[in-house]
Amino acid sequence: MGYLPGKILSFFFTMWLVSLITFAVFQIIPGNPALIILGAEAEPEQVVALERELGLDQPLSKRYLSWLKGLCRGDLGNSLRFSQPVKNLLVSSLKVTLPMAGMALVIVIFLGIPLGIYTGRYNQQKRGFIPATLVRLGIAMPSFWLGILLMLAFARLIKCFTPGAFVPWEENWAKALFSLFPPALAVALPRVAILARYVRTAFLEEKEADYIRTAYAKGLKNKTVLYKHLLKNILISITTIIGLILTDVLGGSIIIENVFAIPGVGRLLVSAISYRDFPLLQGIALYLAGVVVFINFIVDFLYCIIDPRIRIS
Amino acid sequence: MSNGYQSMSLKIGETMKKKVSTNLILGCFIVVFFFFVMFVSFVYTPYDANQMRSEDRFHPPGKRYLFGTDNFGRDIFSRIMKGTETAFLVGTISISMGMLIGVFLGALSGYYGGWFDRIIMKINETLQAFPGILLALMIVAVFGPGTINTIVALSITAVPGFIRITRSGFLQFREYNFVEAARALGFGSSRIMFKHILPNLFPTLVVAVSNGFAGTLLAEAGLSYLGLGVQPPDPSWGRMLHEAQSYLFSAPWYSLAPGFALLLLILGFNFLSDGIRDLIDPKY
Repeated sequence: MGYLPGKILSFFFTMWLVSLITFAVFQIIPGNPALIILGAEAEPEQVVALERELGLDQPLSKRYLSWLKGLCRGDLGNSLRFSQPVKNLLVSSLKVTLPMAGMALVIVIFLGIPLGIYTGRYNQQKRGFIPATLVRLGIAMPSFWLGILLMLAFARLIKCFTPGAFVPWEENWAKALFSLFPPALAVALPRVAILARYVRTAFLEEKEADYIRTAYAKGLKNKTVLYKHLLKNILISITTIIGLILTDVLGGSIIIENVFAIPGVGRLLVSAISYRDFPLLQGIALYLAGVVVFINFIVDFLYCIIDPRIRIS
Repeated sequence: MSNGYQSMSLKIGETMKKKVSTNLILGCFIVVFFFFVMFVSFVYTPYDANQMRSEDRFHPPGKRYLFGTDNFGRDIFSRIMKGTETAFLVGTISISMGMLIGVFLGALSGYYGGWFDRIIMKINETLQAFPGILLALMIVAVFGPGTINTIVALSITAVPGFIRITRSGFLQFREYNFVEAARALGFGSSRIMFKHILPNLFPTLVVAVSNGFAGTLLAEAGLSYLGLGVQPPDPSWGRMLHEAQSYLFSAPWYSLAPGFALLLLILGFNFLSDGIRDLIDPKY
């Protein structure tokens, strides 16, 4: 089997496994889920009705199959609390989460790579000390605390920002974008540090490579060697890291959305947990994991285009 | 480092000494300091961490209350001291459990290979598709919040990383001559795996534990911050941040102190793991 068909097959298999794990986790709820959702003082008729709605009166395998069938049609079931299809809730909250995650990723790439190269270039020198310290602090920084600090800073210093006030896209897209900026920054900054560290390590490793010595021996200028030869090769190894970072950004935004009270997927997830809205929870978990598998697949695909050696070996 | 590889290998003794003195010492110092604070908090805190004094609500930091007081008039400094217990308790148990399960499965997977390895690796890869805190949140959603359930959730979250590290170590070492020799001497598989190969992985595992500790601290604080981890009255830094946020503008000191403690301890574990890695692999 070739490289790409194998990857595609493995992608679908992983997707199926994700669905199996998501389904399985919510089957190990101790006790009767219907009773847990409704509370101890629920009427027996209510419990029976909810059991039927959740399909609990059917055997496990049948339930899984009908759930899987729904998934293939894009139907994730109905939320118990909001009495709406999970899909609609997901779509409306993704309109907030995806732009924020995208903004965070842009910040990560445009700050992380230059910072990594700078700290690599001036590794263990005086000029590199402050950036290296910032990177170290950034890696250890809890992003939700950073969010709280940013909120304090933005509200105190820049008076125009009111925390927790997300302006819907339909109303004013510029304001919506602006209100997403502080949370995106809070998600991004720790990941900037992580990316910078990877870039620095890659930089220091590549610097020892033979082709760099050759380039210097040819009499090329330092800048040409660094930015034309070295950077290109570093970018290859960064591609895989970007996939990991995007996963991390999605995970980080779950908490950050709750810090800034932004109506995204993370907010929906936490409210689903506190209301024990299991169908909604299942839908969100499946969706987020599915996105990650998809991103990894795309990264593999890109990797194979950028670096032909992968396809051959 | 800038002098190049050759001169470094000549002065390897000196380089080691220099490496030890920065990251490792700083890391040890911070972690031991927090450990010390935890032991002190067993016998002494300036005030009772849970005692509410309504006349002293939102007392700003100063001579009387070092880090100020919270919305119930509780001393924040004492609560941060008590919070070290939760941090170390959750971190230690979760990482130990995660490591035990992860090392066991990773060892079997790497040593035997074959279909068992393929199944474990596929499940592992799938579990890692659930971004960071999502897996822990799913488990907490199923079992409900609380300290013990947080530990369960974070243990499970820690497993995949340990499987990966142990497996790749076993894949590497099972080809070595000493393993072949042990096999020729007729030693059993379990003896070869856990007495001959595993000790070679200790340095890598120590780094992973130190790194994992930082990650677990962060995840515990995150869960508690969302109100889904450690529940009151157990003091937790994440939980304190959760409560502090409602008073962010009237009592900013309440948000600053727990976050700073968290940052410092995570920083300590990061320094520690880098320091240990410098010792093992001076190339870095």
